[in-house]
Amino acid sequence: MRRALRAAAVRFEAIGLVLVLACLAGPASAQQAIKFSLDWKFEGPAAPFIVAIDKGYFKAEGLDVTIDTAPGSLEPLNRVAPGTYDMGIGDINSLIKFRDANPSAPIRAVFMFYNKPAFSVVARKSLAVTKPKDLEGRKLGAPAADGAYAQWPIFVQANGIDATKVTIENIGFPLREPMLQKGEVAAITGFSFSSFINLKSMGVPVDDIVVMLMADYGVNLYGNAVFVNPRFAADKPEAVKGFLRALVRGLKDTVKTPDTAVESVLKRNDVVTKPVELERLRMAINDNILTSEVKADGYGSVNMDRLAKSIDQIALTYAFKNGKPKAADIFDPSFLPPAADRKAE
Amino acid sequence: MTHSDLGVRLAPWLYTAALLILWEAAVRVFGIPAFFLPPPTVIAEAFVEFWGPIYRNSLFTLSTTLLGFGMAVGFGLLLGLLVGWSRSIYAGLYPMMIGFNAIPKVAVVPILVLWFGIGFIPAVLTAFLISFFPIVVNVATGLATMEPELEDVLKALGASKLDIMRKVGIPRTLPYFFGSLKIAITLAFVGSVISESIASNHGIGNLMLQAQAQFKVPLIFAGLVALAIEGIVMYWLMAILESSMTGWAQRSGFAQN
Repeated sequence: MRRALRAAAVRFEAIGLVLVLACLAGPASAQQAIKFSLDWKFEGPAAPFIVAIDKGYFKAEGLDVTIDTAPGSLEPLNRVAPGTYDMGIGDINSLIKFRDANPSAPIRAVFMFYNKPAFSVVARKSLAVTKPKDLEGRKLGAPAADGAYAQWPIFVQANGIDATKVTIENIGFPLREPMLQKGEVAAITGFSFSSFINLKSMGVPVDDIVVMLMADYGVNLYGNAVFVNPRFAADKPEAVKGFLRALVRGLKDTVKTPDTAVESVLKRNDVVTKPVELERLRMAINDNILTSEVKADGYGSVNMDRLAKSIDQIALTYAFKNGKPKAADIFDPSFLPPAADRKAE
Repeated sequence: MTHSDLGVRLAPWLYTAALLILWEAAVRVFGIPAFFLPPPTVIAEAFVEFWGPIYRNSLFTLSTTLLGFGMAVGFGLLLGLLVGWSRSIYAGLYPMMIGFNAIPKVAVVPILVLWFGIGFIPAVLTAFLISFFPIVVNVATGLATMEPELEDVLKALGASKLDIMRKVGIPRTLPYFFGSLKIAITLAFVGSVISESIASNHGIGNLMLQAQAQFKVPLIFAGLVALAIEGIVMYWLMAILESSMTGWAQRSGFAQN
């Protein structure tokens, strides 16, 4: 009898202990969910985000992050503005225009991903296009929702192209490179690491491909940045900070060992191959992510002067309805980890 | 005109107005931002502001749709009669057609573009591809549901297979055929707009894509409204065609008054 009582008491204590533990663990295990929209498919350059998931960096920050793909660098804005997605990555220049078109949705960028934008015009020597002026009298294949095409007016102005002489063919992303390969269009707009690598893997000889990186042709803009839904940023600033801390870790791992980082991408995309995605990722790191500015200032931050100048350049071809925005209103550095933690090794 | 006739005539307008008022009220009450769901008044403003491009692109979409639809009618009718003509043709072609119809047309457009370039032709062909199947199936079904007894009697009276087809089979499939046109015309719009939004410099599909790239959500909705209007008008024309051609076949009292 006594033994039975004692057993019952022990059992009772055990239940109590479990309850206490559950209560203690409760707040810690209640992870903050974040829906994140990529700017493109699961391909090489998405590795830093996915590595942060696979290595549990987000989880360590108490975040339960889901990452979805998107068709182009403009679409994430449409997703993050209404809060369908909490955060996303997309073209910061389109964000500036979006803000002007929709003043009621003050989305801000919080982390610069492509310090030097990958926006480019890609052509082929064999189709007699090697410089911007050659585009006159030719057809340019450009998806309407393409981040590179969004900068076309600036490219036109900076290079003195007579835009009335260029026929813009609106074609979807899947058709872009095939049509250039076939010679149906003389050039296309696209991200350098997308269009160049796609053409190369389709068998177009490398020495035939001309990549005019807009940044090398007078287009002085920033590239794709991580941005946040304004309500989410106000309600959960710690979650945004945690997200960026984890992203920096994922980014550092990716830059250090792209070879293993790209495996995370391959796991989520059955139709890509490792050599192609690795080359794409390396190209993005070397040309667009690890710039001299990033080497000096660390990952994620922007130079406010440079951002302000880019807004000035946008204003040359885009009429702001609500006045030219201030750089500080577009990019909010307050969620970034301290500079020492963001250093690019 | 009786009281209930008037009610039926006014019903479409009243229901549409009710939907618009509810929509407008919901957007205003819940403070939904225009880039998420613009209220009808804002869409109407966009419609007026961009009337020129909407009008031009609507005409383009209408022309590709009607051409594709016309091809689907011709081809669908012929193939339907062929399939309905003999059981072996039916057995041979049907699985292929089902397989073909199951292919998402979104996946076909890039191939069409590689063959024919962008713009008009792929839009017409997509409209055609997506809309011919219901016509074929309906025509074939009309032939297949002919009573064998009737066929036997006609044969006994000396009618050839062609006679039976011409005098009984085809008239009998007409209600099915005209019924399928109403489905086919709305599908044809889906087809042409899919193609336009993948590869075209004209058409409502392209207009909506451009509007999206400019973050003009009200214009996207205005494009949808333009499409809806075109769809309703064409459907209505098909319904008139149906009742004037095959009014004799509609004797049931269901869904008529």
